[in-house]
Amino acid sequence: MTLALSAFLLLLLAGMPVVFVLGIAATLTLLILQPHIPITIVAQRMYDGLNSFTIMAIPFFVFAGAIMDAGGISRRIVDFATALVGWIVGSLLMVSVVAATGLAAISGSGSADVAAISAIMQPELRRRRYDIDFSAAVIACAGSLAQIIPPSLMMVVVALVSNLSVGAMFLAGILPGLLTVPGLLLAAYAHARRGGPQYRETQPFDLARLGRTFRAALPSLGMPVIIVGGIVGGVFTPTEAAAVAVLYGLLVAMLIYRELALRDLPRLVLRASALSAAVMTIIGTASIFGWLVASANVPAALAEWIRSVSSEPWTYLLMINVVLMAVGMFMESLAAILILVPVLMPIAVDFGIDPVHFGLVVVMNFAIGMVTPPYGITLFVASSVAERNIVQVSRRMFWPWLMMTLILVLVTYVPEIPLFLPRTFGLL
Amino acid sequence: MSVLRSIALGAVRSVRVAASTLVVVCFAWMTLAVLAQVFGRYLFNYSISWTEETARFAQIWVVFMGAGIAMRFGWHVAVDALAAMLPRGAARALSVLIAAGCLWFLVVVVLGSLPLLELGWTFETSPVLLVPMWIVYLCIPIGAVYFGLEIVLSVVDRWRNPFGARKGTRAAEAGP
Repeated sequence: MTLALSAFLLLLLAGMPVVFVLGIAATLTLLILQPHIPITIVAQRMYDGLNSFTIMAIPFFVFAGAIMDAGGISRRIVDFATALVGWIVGSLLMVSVVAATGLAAISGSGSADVAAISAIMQPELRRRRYDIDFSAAVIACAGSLAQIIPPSLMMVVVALVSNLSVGAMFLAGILPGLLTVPGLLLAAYAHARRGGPQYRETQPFDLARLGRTFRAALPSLGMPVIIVGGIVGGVFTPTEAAAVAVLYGLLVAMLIYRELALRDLPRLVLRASALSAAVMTIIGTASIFGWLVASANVPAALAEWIRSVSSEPWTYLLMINVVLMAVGMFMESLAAILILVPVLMPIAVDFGIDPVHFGLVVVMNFAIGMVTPPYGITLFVASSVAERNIVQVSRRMFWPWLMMTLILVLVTYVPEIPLFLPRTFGLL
Repeated sequence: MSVLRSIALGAVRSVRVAASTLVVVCFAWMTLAVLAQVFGRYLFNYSISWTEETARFAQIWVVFMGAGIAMRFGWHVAVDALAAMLPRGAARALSVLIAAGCLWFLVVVVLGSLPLLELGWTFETSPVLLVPMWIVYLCIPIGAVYFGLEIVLSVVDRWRNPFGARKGTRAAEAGP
């Protein structure tokens, strides 16, 4: 395992694409430690990891995100957010956070949300001389809400590997996600109050405009109702709900907003295919790693070690938070979930921790991992659209990061927050 | 020389068109099959047996072929902040080394797919439609070879500045 870990870190920091980092580290370990196992296991595990109907929710949510971006849905959400919070000091930052929250409820991919929000907000942020690095940091954090607020790719994978109800996971994320929003708004507000006069240039609140932009955004906001309502009500499986979301998004973009034509579709499908292939090949190579971890008896050894150092659920959760935050800095989140959750979940259940609560703690940790360098996907996207490098943006990450971490601690030790909604709807 | 070059460019272009078309068709099929499953169940009270299986197979083709397309667009995420600080000569050497490592892994994948193909050729069929499984497994070697081609092309394309920002593409937004 030490060999796999050092190969992993070396290749990762040398700049190799993550999908190959995972694959090569796993294959090397296999060749050296278990040479009697035929090498065909590499192709076999990748195939098995992808031969799953549940995981198909991922390409559909990615496609729905691409439609949202191309079909004018993101812009209408930003307009509505502007009417809602554009009158507060630091208005552009407030709008970015609120719009990202809205997109989080429509899309399951934080990187797609950050790309969409940044593309709309960055020119304006630059023109009005906001602190670009801080803005990119806030947008990166707000984008990671996509994994906490349903629909969420991470939750689909957590539910898949630990046999949980996706509906219960989705409902569990709503309150923690909504609690994170005021935290981020507060960090942005504090920054804006200390900043120059450009942050005080706001538009007065206008009820008529709020109503108008709300009506324009309303068809897009039907998307989360279909997805979450459909899954929780038992109408669809998560994969079916994601496919219906694609259809709904296409109808809204083509028939209501009329910003997407039939001839744009092949290009959009190609984009969605390549984006989901990039995510899912990582799932494929992570499956090799996951199999290796399981077959090397790591789960049993780790469980024994953990029981020897912590005997209480609260110390276990503390340890999990520290370890997962560190893992999230270096590791692609879906890969980390595939490899680690099958090991950590049974131990959590032994400690009497509710699996849905534990799953949500994992998701929040890796949502934070999306903004922490050196490997953070929303950090990458936010920095690159802002044309800054990740070191510059990371320097301004502290306050928004701290807000997310505080909410994580709260959710870790008050299980009633995530579990309230799933219990209310009878899913637990 | 320029004739060879234009033949090579033409070949690359046709391979890309073929891969893209295949992926778009498979993705469209996957979407339509799952929608047919939903509407079949609720509107016609009829459950179609083959939608799930064909959608899964289409998904596997999308992923293995789409991996190369994602490479072409620069959507495979990598941590290249450190590599970007290297002087040009070292960066070029590193980019070749990385590509060699990636190609080695793809060779392992192709070799590993051969026993699967043999299994699918001789007797394994899919549970519902009884399709011979080599049709599905074939995406592994074909996808890996196309992925390898795009890796080599990307090294050539980025020779001037191997870890610099790419023009014309938004950086890797392919993530959760």
